[in-house]
Amino acid sequence: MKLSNIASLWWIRLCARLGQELLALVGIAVGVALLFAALVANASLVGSFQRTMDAVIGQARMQVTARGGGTINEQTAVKVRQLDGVAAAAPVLEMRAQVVGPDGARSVVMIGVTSDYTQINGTITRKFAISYLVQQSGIALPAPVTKALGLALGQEASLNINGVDRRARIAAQLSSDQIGALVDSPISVAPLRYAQELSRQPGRISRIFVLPEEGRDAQVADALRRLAGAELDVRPADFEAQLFRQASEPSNQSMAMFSAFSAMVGFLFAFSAVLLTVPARRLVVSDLLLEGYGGATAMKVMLFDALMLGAAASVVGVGLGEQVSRHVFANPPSFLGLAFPYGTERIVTVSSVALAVLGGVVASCVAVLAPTALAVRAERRGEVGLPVRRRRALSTKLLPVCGGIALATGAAIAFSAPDSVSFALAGLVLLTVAMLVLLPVSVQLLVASVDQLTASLRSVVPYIATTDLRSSTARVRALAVTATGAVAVFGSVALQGAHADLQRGLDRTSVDLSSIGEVWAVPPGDANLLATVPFDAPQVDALSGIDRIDSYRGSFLDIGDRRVWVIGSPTTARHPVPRGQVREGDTALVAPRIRAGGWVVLSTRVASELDVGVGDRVVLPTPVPTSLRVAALTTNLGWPPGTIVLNADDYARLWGSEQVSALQATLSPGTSPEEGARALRAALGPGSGLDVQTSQTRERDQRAASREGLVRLSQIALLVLASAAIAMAAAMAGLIWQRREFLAFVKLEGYSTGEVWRALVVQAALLVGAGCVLGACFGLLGQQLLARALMEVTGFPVDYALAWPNALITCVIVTAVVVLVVALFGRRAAGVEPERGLG
Amino acid sequence: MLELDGLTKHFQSPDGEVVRAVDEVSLSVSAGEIVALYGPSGSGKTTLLKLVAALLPPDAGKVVVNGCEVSGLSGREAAAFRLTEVGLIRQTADFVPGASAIDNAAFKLLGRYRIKEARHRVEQLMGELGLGERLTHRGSQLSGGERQRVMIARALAIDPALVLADEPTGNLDSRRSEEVLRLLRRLSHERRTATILVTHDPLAARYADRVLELHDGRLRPHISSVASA
Ligand SMILES: Nc1ncnc2c1ncn2[C@@H]1O[C@H](COP(=O)(O)OP(=O)(O)OP(=O)(O)O)[C@@H](O)[C@H]1O
Ligand SMILES: [Mg+2]
Repeated sequence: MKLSNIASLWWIRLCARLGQELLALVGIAVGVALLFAALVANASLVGSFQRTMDAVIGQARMQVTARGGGTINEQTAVKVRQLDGVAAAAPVLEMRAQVVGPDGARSVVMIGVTSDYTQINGTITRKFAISYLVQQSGIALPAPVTKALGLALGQEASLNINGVDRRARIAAQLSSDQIGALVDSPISVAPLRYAQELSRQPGRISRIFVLPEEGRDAQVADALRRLAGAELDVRPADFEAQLFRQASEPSNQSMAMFSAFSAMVGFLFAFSAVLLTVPARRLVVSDLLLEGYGGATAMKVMLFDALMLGAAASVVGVGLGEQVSRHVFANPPSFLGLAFPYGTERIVTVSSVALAVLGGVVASCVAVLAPTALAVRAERRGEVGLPVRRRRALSTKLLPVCGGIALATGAAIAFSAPDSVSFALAGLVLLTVAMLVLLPVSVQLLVASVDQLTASLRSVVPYIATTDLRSSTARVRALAVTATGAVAVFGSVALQGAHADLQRGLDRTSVDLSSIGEVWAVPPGDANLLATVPFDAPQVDALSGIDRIDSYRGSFLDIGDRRVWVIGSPTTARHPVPRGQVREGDTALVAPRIRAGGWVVLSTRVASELDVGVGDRVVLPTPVPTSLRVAALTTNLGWPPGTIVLNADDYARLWGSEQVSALQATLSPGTSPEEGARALRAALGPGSGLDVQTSQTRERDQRAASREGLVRLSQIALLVLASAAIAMAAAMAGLIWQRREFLAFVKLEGYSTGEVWRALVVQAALLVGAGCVLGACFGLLGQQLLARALMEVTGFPVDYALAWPNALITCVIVTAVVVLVVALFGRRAAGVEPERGLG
Repeated sequence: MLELDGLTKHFQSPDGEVVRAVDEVSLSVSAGEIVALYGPSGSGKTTLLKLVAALLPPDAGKVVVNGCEVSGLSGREAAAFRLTEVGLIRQTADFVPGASAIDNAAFKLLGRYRIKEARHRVEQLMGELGLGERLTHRGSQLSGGERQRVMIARALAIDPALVLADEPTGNLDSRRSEEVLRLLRRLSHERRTATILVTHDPLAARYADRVLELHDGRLRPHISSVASA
């Protein structure tokens, strides 16, 4: 058949069954949307950081930094510039700053630059006259930031830098024309001199970007390393990006897992939606075969169908997914922002679009062509009876057995609490397979028990409600609806359960971390949630209600490609190491050893990066390398790249600095944390620039931040559920619409509209409810496995608890939504004119 | 039993013309009587049955069954009337999907009886119709004639006052047709139901007590039966 004829045949049939095809389209589109939104969110996290970094780095290929996050003498930059083969060297001073305007406060990374910076040509200076800024005493901020804070050009803003309050003039507002995508990043640019003055670090810089002459990279690197000695690190200019990639790896991996999961759910949506159109397509195929067209022509006609459907659905799906990613996934997880300033830019890559569209088209092709191929084969043989019956006998006996085995294996894996991610994922796959395989049997059991239960009723309602499940042709379509619900609820329950487990683990860590001190004084701003900004400790005299004020020291330390969080607890701390996080080592000895000094606690990943175990000696890459012994291994305390705990005195030795990053007050017995906080605030005085917080406040803030990092998980779980509800409602509506003729017969025989309507509602409740309950039961098993897999991937602490209340609520809500939709739609379908039944 | 009085139904065809589907039809059928109704395609036979079954409201005239006027019933009342008083037999034996023969036959009883009781009640009738060995078969496992007999069982299971059959033998060969017609005749005589048998089948005249013809919506005696009489 000619392509044009195939196309016109398609068009004629499309017009005749527009409603059904639209429902199928909705099903596929929802799946594509899920996949697309997950892919975009995934690409955006790493992509937007990469862009921020690229903009800062420009063409520089190397950088020189101080070890342990400190500063270096700016004269070093002069020496670097004089090295043979160096084309340009740009010194910068970066610092965390809290900018306060009339309308709010925002944490930014301030970058102090000189006119040398133009030579490395980063985006932040490409289109805006840095030479003008350098002559100013003021700072430049992205326009969205100034707008949000209520600041205008030339106005003065309050700044808090390293625990000291300052004021600075807004010398420039950077627009997206000037700095491109960077406008969405929390950065600020200032002249180096001015930045040094603001932070009271005259003559200091934090980094030198180096652009070697073409082809002389190796030589320059050697020279730099010689110059750097022990205190400085020489690294590729894009080292930060490497660190970030490592840090965001867990969240990327979990997102990848969810993308795959969304794709699977999406495919089921598509499949159940397309199944609705199968009877009509089969009719066309058998007509074509009957009239003498070959099987190849029939397949071509169907392929055309599938491609058109898939393409249209993918376009709609990508549009829908775009909206989801704009509005639901708008804010990326912010926890990492504490160590990595990155933008909230949404990055839509060609590959995201291509993958989503491909997914949609493939789903549509498989769903359309698979039943067609079966029909063609059966039609060709002309022998439908025997082989089909034998196959059914096989499937009724063999499939439940296979399902049982898969279930038993999956459950065994779940209860064995596996340590390996792939093992846990294999368990999840097994459970999914078991669920789908056991679904028909379970539904059959359900029908049997409904028959039993309703045997004493004098009503036609239950009988009509279960007819679809009795007839072999309609059963596949009905089961597809049930399967959609089952898979969606399975995933959602497992996801939400695992999310809750992780959340509980992190919450407990927040409590542990904050209870290192009773009252804290830290520089203000989000960045200090982890207390990593050093400042000079102010003198505080003895206070009533406060026994002692101790120094806490913390920062980030780059080990290998990990930006590790360092916690330096006071030597007097009652719990210097977060309790309950120790995975290896003698729990009783850990705290005394850390307090005594000379010992360190590492998270497991950091330990394996350094290739040490409990009791081993380790030299950390700090400014003053010193040997310490490993007292214990812990979880990563919620910081994906890993953590190190030592005491604050050891920290001071290793970093060669007496600066602190928090003051911690120990309260006298009988003093409430609020009273203690008030006393400390008063003692520090109004000009101190430090925030005084009780451990409860810190815990709450930390909890909120870690929650934000996990929010994507529950968002996806909800989205899967919502789309499943839509897909099931659409499929149910389609199923009912196809049965209007049957409904007309039922009414022709004299049954009332009300009875027919009730039967439709009961049918929906049975089909969807069965799927939901099955999905929830399997989901609770899956939760165990998913939590395990996530724990291994993220290294987060996990606190396991069966999430059955959530599972129950999920079941009830999804079933209720679908039943409600069916109830509304069913009113119309049940109103079908009975006379239609007489032709 | 069944009285039709000046029954009229007109339709507006898409091109605006008025189609007189049923035009002032008056007819009375007594209990136990079978009236065969012939007529060319489009002459209004199905429309007449729809009017009698209270599936359509007439434009004029009335339908009275056992002294009760059916044409004025509300939708709900009309449904109850069909469920308890009218046995319908259609040309295609449309089964409830997936349901067994006995469940199909008992289908109209499910509103009144428990399912076991409903099945029990049709068992004997199924036997009389020669379906005793076919009770648990599904639609696809029955022959066309068997399926049509299941439909007759369904129609008669409620002990209807009225049986309306629209070309019940349209899909059957002559031997099966005779079988079905003979059963229909015997059962309506025994059970004293008034039956209207719409058909194109020349055989049907032999099993009817009276033969009529509908032409352009108007009722008249059947020519060939007049001739043969
Ligand atoms: N809802 C309707 N709207 C308009 N015209 C209709 C409608 N229903 C039936 N008709 C017309 O009324 C006439 C009678 O139709 P009816 O179905 O009663 O014919 P019939 O005698 O049963 O024909 P056949 O033997 O082919 O079944 C036909 O011309 C038909 O086109
Ligand atoms: Mg007709």
